[in-house]
Amino acid sequence: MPSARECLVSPPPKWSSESLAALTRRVPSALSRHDGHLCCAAAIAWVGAMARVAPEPHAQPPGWISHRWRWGPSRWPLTWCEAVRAERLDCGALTELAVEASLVTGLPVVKIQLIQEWDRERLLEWQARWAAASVESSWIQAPFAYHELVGVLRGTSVMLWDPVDGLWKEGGQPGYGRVVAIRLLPGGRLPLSSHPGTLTWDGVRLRSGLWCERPDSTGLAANRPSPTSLST
Amino acid sequence: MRDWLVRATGDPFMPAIIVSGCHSGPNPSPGVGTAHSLRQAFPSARLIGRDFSALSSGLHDPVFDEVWIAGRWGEVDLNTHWSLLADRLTSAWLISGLDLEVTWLADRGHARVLCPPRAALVATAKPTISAAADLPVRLPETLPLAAGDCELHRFCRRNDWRVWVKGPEHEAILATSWSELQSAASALEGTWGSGLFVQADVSGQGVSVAFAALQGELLDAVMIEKHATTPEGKVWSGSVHQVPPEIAAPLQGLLRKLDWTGGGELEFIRDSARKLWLIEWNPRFPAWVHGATLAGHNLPGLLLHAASGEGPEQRAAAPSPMSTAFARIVVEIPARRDLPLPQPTAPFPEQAVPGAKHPSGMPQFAKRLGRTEPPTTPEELDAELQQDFTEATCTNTPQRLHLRRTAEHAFARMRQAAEPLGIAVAYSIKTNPKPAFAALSRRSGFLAEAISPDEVAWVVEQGWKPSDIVYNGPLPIPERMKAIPLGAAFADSLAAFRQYAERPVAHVVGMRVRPPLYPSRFGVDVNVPEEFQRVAAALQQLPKDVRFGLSFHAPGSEIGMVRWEQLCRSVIEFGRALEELTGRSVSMLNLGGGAAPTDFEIYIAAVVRLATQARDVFQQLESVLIEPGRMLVQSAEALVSRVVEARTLPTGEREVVVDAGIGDLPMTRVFPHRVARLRGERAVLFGRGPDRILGRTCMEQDILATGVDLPADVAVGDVIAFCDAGAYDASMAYAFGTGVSRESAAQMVV
Repeated sequence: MPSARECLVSPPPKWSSESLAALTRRVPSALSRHDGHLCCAAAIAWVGAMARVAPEPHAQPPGWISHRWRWGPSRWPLTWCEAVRAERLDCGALTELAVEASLVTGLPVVKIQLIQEWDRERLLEWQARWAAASVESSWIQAPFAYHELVGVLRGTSVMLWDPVDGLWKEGGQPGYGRVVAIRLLPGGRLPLSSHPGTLTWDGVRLRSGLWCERPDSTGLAANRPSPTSLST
Repeated sequence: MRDWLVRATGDPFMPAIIVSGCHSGPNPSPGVGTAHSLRQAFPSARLIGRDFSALSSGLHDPVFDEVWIAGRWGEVDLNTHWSLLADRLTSAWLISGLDLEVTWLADRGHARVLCPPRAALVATAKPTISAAADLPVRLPETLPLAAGDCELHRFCRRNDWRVWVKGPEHEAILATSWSELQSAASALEGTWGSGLFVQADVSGQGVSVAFAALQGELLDAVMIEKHATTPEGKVWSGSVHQVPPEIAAPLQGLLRKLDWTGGGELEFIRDSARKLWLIEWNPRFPAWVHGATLAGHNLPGLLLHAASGEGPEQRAAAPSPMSTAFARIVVEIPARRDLPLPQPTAPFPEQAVPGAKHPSGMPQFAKRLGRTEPPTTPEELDAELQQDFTEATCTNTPQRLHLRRTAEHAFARMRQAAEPLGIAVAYSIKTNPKPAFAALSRRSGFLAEAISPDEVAWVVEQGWKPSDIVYNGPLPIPERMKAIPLGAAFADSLAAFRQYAERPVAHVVGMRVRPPLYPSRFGVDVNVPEEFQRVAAALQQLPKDVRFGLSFHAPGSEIGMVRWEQLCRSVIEFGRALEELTGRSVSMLNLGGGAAPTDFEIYIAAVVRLATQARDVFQQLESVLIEPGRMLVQSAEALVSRVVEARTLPTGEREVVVDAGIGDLPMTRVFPHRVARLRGERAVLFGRGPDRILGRTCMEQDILATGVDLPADVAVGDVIAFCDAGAYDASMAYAFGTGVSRESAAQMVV
């Protein structure tokens, strides 16, 4: 594997576009609780039980979450009890559930924020879906879209697993939905201190809490290749 | 039948290559892909597409310079067939994509036929694939169909009822129940004849290795990961990779040992632990071989280059890779004017167009090769059962025989296993409510499990105290029921649980749980988060002096014991979550479900593991309770019948009609029963064969046994016993075709 490249860190001296910069200011999603009520405690306990009984192979992310919920607009703020009862959840809610389920089963994970580049038609379609549900869609800043997913730690590497479709996201692929910027989020129950500055994804060195713009992601809109994958 | 040759105009150009097996459908042969790869390596080669009917659609591909439709396998004289082929081989090479043709060609030993020698085919033949011992791979468990129904059923239970019924060379059908297995076996036997086997399903990702070798020297190999497959498992898109060294090195040595010539494919499943399971070893290139060529590994080109000594016109050994992944598409091409299309589809395509599913005629060839099934030896009856039959007196038939020694053995075995483990046993009354079994249960110190107030009343009549009764049915306990408090009562719904909690009907009040991934009409569905929250809320309302229990029931014999254990573990995990959430402890864990008597050791081992886990998770656990029924009494009764008619069919198979019917043996299609002829003092089990035993009623499904080997002297008046009829065959038997209605039968009971 080639040596890890240094990434640009947040706030970068200059993002390649204002839309991109706007998306880097987004606060990561977090499910809230109805304190003092059984509902949210039961929801969290239920997620834990489901995670322990799910037929996932050892050390694999919780695929049952991708099978159980379809991706769609979520209205925030969102509580745990509302999330588990919903039919559709956005990537932020799905990632919250997936991280909780992973930690219950002992899988070392972190939350990851991504900014990806998409074609105009796809972004318009998503905007329409969110508008139809009367949910704001500031996560879309053409030609970019904000995304949250799970980072699974394998040694000093971070592998991206998307609870939206239950698939691993391979890095470095050109074209459709390519990753423009990535941030590994600090916090949670995982001690990231054991990996100070050593985690890499797709050859890019990640620093906890700092946005990394992929060095080869400039001039995206003008040089966009044809779509090569349908995964979202 | 004359061979149909379509010759191209123009001068022939060397090398000429015959590519056999060119069908291009959802389950394609490799001919078209092989030809495209050869064309890339040898643009001026003469490619001759060969197959055995006009249904082979790939013959229309313009990649072929000639098309050769040979005579059907079922009709041709094989010597003439070979001499025609040998004539062409004086100036051509042959690469076959048809497994059975490869087998036939191997015996011909022609230098221009690029296929492995016979010994290599034997070493790589299904289901044993003995050559795989040299590779770091695993083989799924297999069992020949000829092993007999009881063994097959045991195999399926052990593999959680996910098994493939496979033809000796081709075709596989997934079976998840006994009836599906019988149906699949019947269909495949009809197509391929004998030699069928079952193989345990392995879940994971499809991975294949393809290679080319000449006289034992590996020329190149490549691995693909299947990204999309058809329902039959045929690759539709894949990514191409180097063969990992841990496979490549031993494969190289193995091919040398096998003196392999030609293409080959190893089909694997890579499980979640990334272990490779070898499913098939095909003695030919795979249909996706051109995908490897696009990635820079032209295996057919390399093979021909090495065999002929002729340099490829383009660099076959290292063509420029166009992509490291491929996709298969469907597109129309012009049909050849000089090649007849098949007849238009008739209303009943399978009947009207023989071979529509197998255009290369492999089923006919398989039958022609005439595989013989090894003879099977009938099982021996166990000593207790044999002794029971010796002591039995059969006056009238049909009659249900109580097999005392067998019953005593089953109950004693259970008691001896459970007692030292501190596991309580409750006899499932519904399985067979006969006083003899009740008495045996009580003598064994077992509790009674009842599912209805009527059963509770019967149990009390048999001498059990109410505190020794476990109630576990969907019918809520009525307010007026006398025998309360019971030992334990498990509600089938939250509403019933709340009722039981308000007026404690038992010392332990619990609920039956329906865990995730188990479709069932019973129990509280904790897969639904709202329901789980309601369970927690209801549990918080349970009076503190009433102990709480959890129950799960599923038939291990129908879902497999591994899955049964996994589901029980799920219930324990949800119990853990409820304890943590509510602070209420689980006092009793009740694990039920029908397991076959022959799974006794597996069942007890699973129960031990579950009890250990439960005691670890539930700190206040007082009792682990199991509720066997089938395991105790299934073998303890036999249905005895008499032959009333014996027939020999024109095909040679025999059938007998007996005076019992499906109403006397209602589980006949659910699991196989051992069948024996009682003669004098001995019972002799029937082996596996082509014969059938038919019931006395006028229902199509009244077939009491199939696939049995009836003795040559079977005759009217012979007594035939259907063993293993002591469980639901007894309690669910019905009076059909006897002139007795349900109402009058009930009155007779009253």
